[in-house]
Amino acid sequence: MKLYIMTDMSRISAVLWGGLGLPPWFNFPELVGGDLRRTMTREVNRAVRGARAAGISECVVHEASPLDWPLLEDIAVVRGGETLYLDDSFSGILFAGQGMAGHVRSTTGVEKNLQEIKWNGRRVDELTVCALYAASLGIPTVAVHGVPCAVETLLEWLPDVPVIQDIENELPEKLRQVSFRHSPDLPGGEIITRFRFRVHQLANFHSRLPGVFRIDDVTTETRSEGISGAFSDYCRSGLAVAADWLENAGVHSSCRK
Amino acid sequence: MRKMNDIGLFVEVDLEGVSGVVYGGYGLPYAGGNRKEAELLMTLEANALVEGARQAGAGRVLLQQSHPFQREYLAGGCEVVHDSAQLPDCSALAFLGRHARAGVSNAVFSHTGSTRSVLSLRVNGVEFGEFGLFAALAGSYGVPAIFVSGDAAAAREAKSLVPEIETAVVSEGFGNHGALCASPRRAHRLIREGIERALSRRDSIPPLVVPGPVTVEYTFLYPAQAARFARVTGVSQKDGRTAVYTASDYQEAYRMYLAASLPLIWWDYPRGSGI
Repeated sequence: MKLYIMTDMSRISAVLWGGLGLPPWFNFPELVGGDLRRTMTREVNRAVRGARAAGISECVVHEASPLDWPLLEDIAVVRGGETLYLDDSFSGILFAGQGMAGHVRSTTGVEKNLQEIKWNGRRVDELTVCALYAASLGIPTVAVHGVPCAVETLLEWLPDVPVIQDIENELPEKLRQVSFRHSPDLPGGEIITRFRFRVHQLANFHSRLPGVFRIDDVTTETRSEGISGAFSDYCRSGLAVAADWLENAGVHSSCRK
Repeated sequence: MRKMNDIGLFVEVDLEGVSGVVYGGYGLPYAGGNRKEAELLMTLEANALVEGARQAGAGRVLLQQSHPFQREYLAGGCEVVHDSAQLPDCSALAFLGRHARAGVSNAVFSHTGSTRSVLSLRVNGVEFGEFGLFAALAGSYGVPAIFVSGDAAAAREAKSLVPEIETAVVSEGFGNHGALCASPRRAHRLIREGIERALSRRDSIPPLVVPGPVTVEYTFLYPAQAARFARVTGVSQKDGRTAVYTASDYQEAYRMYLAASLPLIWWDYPRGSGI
């Protein structure tokens, strides 16, 4: 059994963190400090130990927020990822560290740029987009580790997903219950995604992409078939965010050159 | 057969094939990001290689530094050198942190010498990257390249030139700046085991020999670079982007490869450096 572990800290995008969404010089000074890296790494190691205790043979950690590499267990790590690298060899996905940085909720990418995303009129956030995409591939979310308010939106879509606090001790039991591999009620057919950006320039950049339509100053829309298509639209929105960063390095207070 | 403790191992150490260095959100060596982290990861991989080589009985291990080690973390049991002068005195060559040649897809930060100038390089009509260039230099002294660690594309490139070589794949690129990486603990294990295997069967790995005369053909990013390189004696411009030279043997060809950096170095200085 293989487990895909997404690391996250609120305000840092999971999917957009890598080469697509962030320019090479990008840094989050207040979040990549040693303490937070080490804390996140300890959580990841606890998750890996918990997963091994439940019989998971391989853990692949998607580094969506920075880790202290020399401290990591013997695992594989996705670094610089531009999407989720999921396939049918994975038995489940775990989201670790949701809201860990102390912010109020899991956000839609990076909150200073992308303020709201809706699928067919229902609000989604980054965590939800990733969990729904995994579910569409038949990969269940085995647990979300983090503060409860960070998973409110996800629970509106997937109410059975367990939220855990003690990752090492609670995870084995949740993994043993993975037979709850039910088929959640996922949206099918065409998915209309509405992106509401913080500034009009981002909507302007985004609407340069084929298949992206401008709705108003700060809102764009895409239409795709199924969750897979909508997930690609979500990842692709990082191109607009990256373009904006490259043109206007001061758009995010965390940026430094 | 030579005794193990007679073995001098020359290690060509690079940065961009080290696991975790992807030139993405982090890892960009010289433009902010986490240069220190990249250098630390490289240093720790070098320690693992030295440890494995020592356990396999190597007498001397020389690390050729092309990016700065974090010296305070570099373990003992090795010597750091800054050029290849001692390569002919060694009995085997290993590569650490190797990346693939320029233009290869799904390869972490693939390049040949410089990402800002060299699009491709051919030696006697065969595409070469940094692995081939240095392995052939060692081969010209009769020194075999026995081991390479780096990303999967670099390992494939090495195997295509030296099929018998031992490899330790520590990352697999999703593109140029993202990869599925081994954590340091895993990468170090792979490297230790790999170098031990390589040293145990070093006599079955032949050196990479490029027979003379050796024709080297560069394709550059900018026509001005080809024109500038063609000002070097013995180099001619073949077309807008291509310059070519022929040397009597590989060692002479390699010296010209090093000389190529002189007319090209101007293009590699970062903007704003005042040059």
